[in-house]
Amino acid sequence: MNANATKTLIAVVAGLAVIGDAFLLFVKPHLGNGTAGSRSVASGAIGGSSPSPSSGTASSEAADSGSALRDGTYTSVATPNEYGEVQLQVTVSGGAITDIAAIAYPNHTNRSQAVSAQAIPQLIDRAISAQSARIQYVSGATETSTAFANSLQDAINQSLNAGK
Amino acid sequence: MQSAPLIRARVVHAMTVPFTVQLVAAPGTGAERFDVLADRAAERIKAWLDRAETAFSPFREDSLVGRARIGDWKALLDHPDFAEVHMLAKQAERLTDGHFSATHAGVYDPTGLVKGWAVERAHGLFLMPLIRSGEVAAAALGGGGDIQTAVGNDSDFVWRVGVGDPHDDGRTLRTISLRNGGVATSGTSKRGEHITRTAHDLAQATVVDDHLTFADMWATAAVAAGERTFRTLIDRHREHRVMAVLVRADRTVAEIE
Repeated sequence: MNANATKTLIAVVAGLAVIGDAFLLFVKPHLGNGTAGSRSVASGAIGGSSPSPSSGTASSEAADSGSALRDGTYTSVATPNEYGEVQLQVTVSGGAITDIAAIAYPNHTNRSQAVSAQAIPQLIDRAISAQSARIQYVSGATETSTAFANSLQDAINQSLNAGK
Repeated sequence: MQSAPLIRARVVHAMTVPFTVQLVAAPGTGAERFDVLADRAAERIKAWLDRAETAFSPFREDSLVGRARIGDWKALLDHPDFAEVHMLAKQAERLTDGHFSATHAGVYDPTGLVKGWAVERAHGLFLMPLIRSGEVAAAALGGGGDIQTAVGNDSDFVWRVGVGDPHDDGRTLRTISLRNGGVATSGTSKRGEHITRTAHDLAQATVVDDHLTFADMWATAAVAAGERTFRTLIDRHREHRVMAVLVRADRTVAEIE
């Protein structure tokens, strides 16, 4: 029993972690009917092995995962990045997604500016200079697995690994 | 007191491309422990990239992208990563006035965005924690020309990325120094990328941005749109200080700083 409780706790915490981790959640069908209002579908990262049993909120929801989608319009949580915010609006009709619209906001809002400001602090250290032998990476357009052996990147990697 | 830092490189093959993981040891990290960290990180990154390829491959009918191409978009609700990539693709189309496009031959194909996004994400998932733990001073992940770098606040390490010469595999044309950020290169021969070009004056574009996903998007747009239009596009986002090295069709090199 104790073990069971622990298990449940772990499951709940894991569920919350997944939600917190998930970059985006779809929420609130605009034409919500009853419990659908809080329906959010989240899976973990793409590692999720099977079509995810709804990892989220209430256990009652797990039961209907896998069944047809409820009709309505779902809006994703905004995902701010350095160039603004984007939201997707997905229309479900007859159990299938029938329309996808993207709403984009430029990053005039304080929120996304705060996000981009804190994301990467050290902008000033960047520079373009003359070609040099002392590099760790090569950025080019042609590197493939077949051409990797004896490539410049391969040589750099080997010399780095040879350093003590 | 200052000695050369201990750096380890590991190569993993995924998405038809060799990815190089590089770690710089923090002063207190011994060589043996450091090798274990590098091996483990490479292993995890390989597994994650393989799963990303399975999810996003446009060539597999059962991939999330493959299903979307036949009208089944359910993954938008089930898979946050799939939805995120789709949103980024929409955003990229807007930012580049359509010169970056996730539609190829009439169907959804986010391939041009997926690798850069996957490298940035894998870097965040598996390398940033090593920096935060204090055992690793700096860490980078790169593959197919797309590189994401980071350096811990306590380290003065600077990553140096050579811009490959599209006309000579063994040569670099410029060196980009950065601590945290993304570097991406697009050319006329980049694998798996379907670029619809409206201009043909650029043979290659290398772009530096805070985030590799956007560096990748800008590099693709540059090659598609040509130098003039590209300069206009990034001028709208001066606050991000996008940097670029452009190799023109006539083999001259232009720098945007």
